[in-house]
Parts: sequence; structure tokens; C-alpha cells
Amino acid sequence: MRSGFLPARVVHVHPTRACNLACAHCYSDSSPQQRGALAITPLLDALAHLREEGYEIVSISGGEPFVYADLPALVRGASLLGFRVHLITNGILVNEARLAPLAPYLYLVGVSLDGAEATHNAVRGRSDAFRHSLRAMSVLAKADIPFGIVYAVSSPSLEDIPWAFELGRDLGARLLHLRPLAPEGRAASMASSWTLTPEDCERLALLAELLGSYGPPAPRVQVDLVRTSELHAARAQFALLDGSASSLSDAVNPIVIDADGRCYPFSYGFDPSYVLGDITQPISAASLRLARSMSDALIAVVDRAFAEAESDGLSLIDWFAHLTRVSRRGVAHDAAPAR
Amino acid sequence: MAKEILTKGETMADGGTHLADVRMNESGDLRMALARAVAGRKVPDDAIASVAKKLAASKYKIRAIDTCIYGICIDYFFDTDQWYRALPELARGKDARVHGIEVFPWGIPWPDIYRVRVQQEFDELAAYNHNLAGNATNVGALAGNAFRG
Repeated sequence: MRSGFLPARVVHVHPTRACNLACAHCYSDSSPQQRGALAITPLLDALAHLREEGYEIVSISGGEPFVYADLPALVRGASLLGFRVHLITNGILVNEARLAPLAPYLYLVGVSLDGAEATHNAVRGRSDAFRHSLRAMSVLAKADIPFGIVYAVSSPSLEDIPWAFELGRDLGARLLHLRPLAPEGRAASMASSWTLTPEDCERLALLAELLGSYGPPAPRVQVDLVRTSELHAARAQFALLDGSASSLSDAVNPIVIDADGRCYPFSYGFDPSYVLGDITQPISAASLRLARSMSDALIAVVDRAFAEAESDGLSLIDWFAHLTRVSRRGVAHDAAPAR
Repeated sequence: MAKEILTKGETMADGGTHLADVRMNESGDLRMALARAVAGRKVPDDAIASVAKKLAASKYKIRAIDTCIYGICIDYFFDTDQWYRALPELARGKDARVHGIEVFPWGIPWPDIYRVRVQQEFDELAAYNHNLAGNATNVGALAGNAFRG
């Protein structure tokens, strides 16, 4: 059964915020100055618990996953728990030697791209970042590891999407994932000229539908926008709202583990008052299990997000960015009925 | 190694066992030309907004959009017992002229799914589409010659 908007049940793991880049649009404020990383043992313990709760995919990002010292243990461990393992990388550290121990356990590797060369390098703050992304894709293709392009869509990079699609097709990418730039983290201080207008979002949706109609071997196209006209039907997929959830993954999808070990519902940057548990604490498994009986406040957030999306007049929304904004307003806590 | 690094506008046409064939048929060229025009903001905002509004008003979930000689083809997927119930409404085409409807089973992996393709002419894109059609034919002919060597 589908849970929420996603076709599978996903755990997003950010094991570190250390990164070899400090991208202008980074929602997690990752950079080379960031220190600290999650210990592997409690992380794998938490993943074992989440597997029992019905989650199917572990998606590892960061920070940059390849600077996380325990990456091979995490990828292998998650795979042996029965997860499909995804990895999102900027590509700089991708080479045959680093991929070799991971290859048997990887389901999909996403390589970040922010536009054509000039735009990508400007966002990444490094003049050879683009070449590294392309080199990484070539290395992945040569190693026969399925990969996709994770494309940050900004106002300047919108026009490069057809080129990125053709590039992905030529290199053998399985997926072109189009992610509208969200003004979160460091991206909040970018000039407004980077942000997509509602008209840009309409272009993006039409573009995704046009490019998505190519069949294999062209990459599958996925865009993080939903038509508000389809929201009403999607609401039925939220077991959280009608009380029919029988597992944590029925109620919360995706779930996010940040570099401090905190588990957030739905999205990185969700209001901290809704944290479901902390994997660095001994009671983590119990607290996550307790989260199965969701708080009325969280239900109120989702309810409110649906109501606002259906009434704000926009034809398209980035659902998870919208949900996160609603969570931060605090209104849901006030609106939650007493138990 | 064959052209490892590509820049915008280049294609990896010189082979490699893992590389996709870069050739496209003319329909693919036309679709890509429209995609480039949409992405490059050559189709005005108001035209995009108008088309998007019409598409959003569809009662049925759109699975794909393609180009055709009339303008745009919209693909819907239906279960076996549902597609014929949707046909009257799809044929009415209140927001765009309907030039044709094709219905065909999706195939062996999903024998219970029918694909309904509606060919529609959107006034907003009509002039633009005719330009694209001309350009795409030329592009297709050139690409064909290039690959025949």
C-alpha cells in the first residue's frame, strides 16, 4: 500500500554534515567546516528497527556521503537489513576504488547537477565541480552501477533541463530527478532571481511531462511537484489522517535521520518540536515505536497543509517544502485537539 | 577514452558499450524541440499558464504528454472497465479541439491497462507548433544523414 506521495517507504539518512563543498543552495548548511558524524552502531540499530516498521529504501546523503568514514559499513549493513540503498553524491570523490566495496549493495546512485557547466560551478563554488559530476557518471556507468541525475531546478538552470536529459540519456542514466530549489538553509540567502516563479513551476511540470514520455533507454523523469487538483485523491494515501496506520511507515513517509541522530517526519528542516526520536539515546527504539501513535499535532500539520494547498490558488506545489513551512508556523500545535 | 567530458550541446555519439543510441525519430525531435522552447522561455508565460490550467482541469490523471501533428497528444491510462466511460468526456474537449482519439491495450506486462491517447489542438501553442514541425523535419533529416555517414 502506498504511504503518502511516495511510491516506496523511505528513510533519508544524513550521517554527517561534513562536505568537500559548500554549495550556495545547500539546505543542510553542510560544508568542509562541519564536523561530527553519526556512530555506525546506533545508526544500524535504528535502521533495523525502521525496517521492521516497513521502510524499504535507505537514501544516504549528507553532507557528502563519501567523506563519511563508515559509508561502506552503512551501505552494506542497510542492504543486508533488506533495504534498497540509494546514495546522493556530488561526484568529486567517486572513483573505482571507493565504489568497489559498495557496488554489490547499491541500488541507485544520484549524482547532483545544478545546470550546465557555468551554473553548476557557480552554485558549487568550485571551477571543476561540473567535470567531476560528469566523470562520476562515466565511472558509475563503466562499473554498471545504476545511477541518475539529481537536478536542482533554479530559475537559471530551468532552461538547461532538456540538455541534462539528453546528457543523462547518452551516459546511460536511469533517472532525471528534478528538484525545485527550496529556500532552505544556505539557499535562503540566495538572490530571489534563483527562485522559481509559479510560471516557472508550470514550465517545469510541462517539461517533465514532455520528457517523461520518452521510454527507455531515456531516463525516467521525476519532478517534485504535485498538481493541487490531484491532492484530494492523494489524501486517501495518508493513513496518518484517518487513523488506519498500523506501522510507523504507514503514518510517516519519508522519515529523516539527521547528523545529530534526530528523527524527523517527512522532511529535513521540519519543525524540531515534531521530532520522533533520537537514535543516539538508548531509548530510541522505544521512542520510535511510540511515535506510531502519532501526536494530534502532527496530524493537524498534515491536515492544515492539505487545506492550505487546496485553497491558495496555486496549481502546483512542492508538497514537502510546503509541509515543512506549515510545520514551522506552529499553528498546528495550537490547532491540535486535546487527547 | 571516448569523449569523457561533455559540455552543453555536445553528444556522446562516438560509441561505448554502455551508451544509449543518440538517434531520435522525428517525433522525438519535435518533442525535444518543444521541450527546449518551453525550458528556454520561448513560449510565453501566459501561454504556458493557459495550457497548464486546461491540463490541470482534466478529471483524469495525465500519464504523458507528447507532440503530434495537431498540437499535443495527452496519454491517459485506464483500467479495462473504465476507459470507455471516460471517452465521451475526453472527446468533448471543452478546452481544446480534439482531432483524434486512439485506444489501445498497454501490453503484456499490464494487460488490464488501456492507454487512451487524445490528440488536441491548443490555440496557445498552435503557431509555435507549426514552427517546430518545420524545424524538426529539417533537424531529423540532418541527423539521419549524419548517422548514415
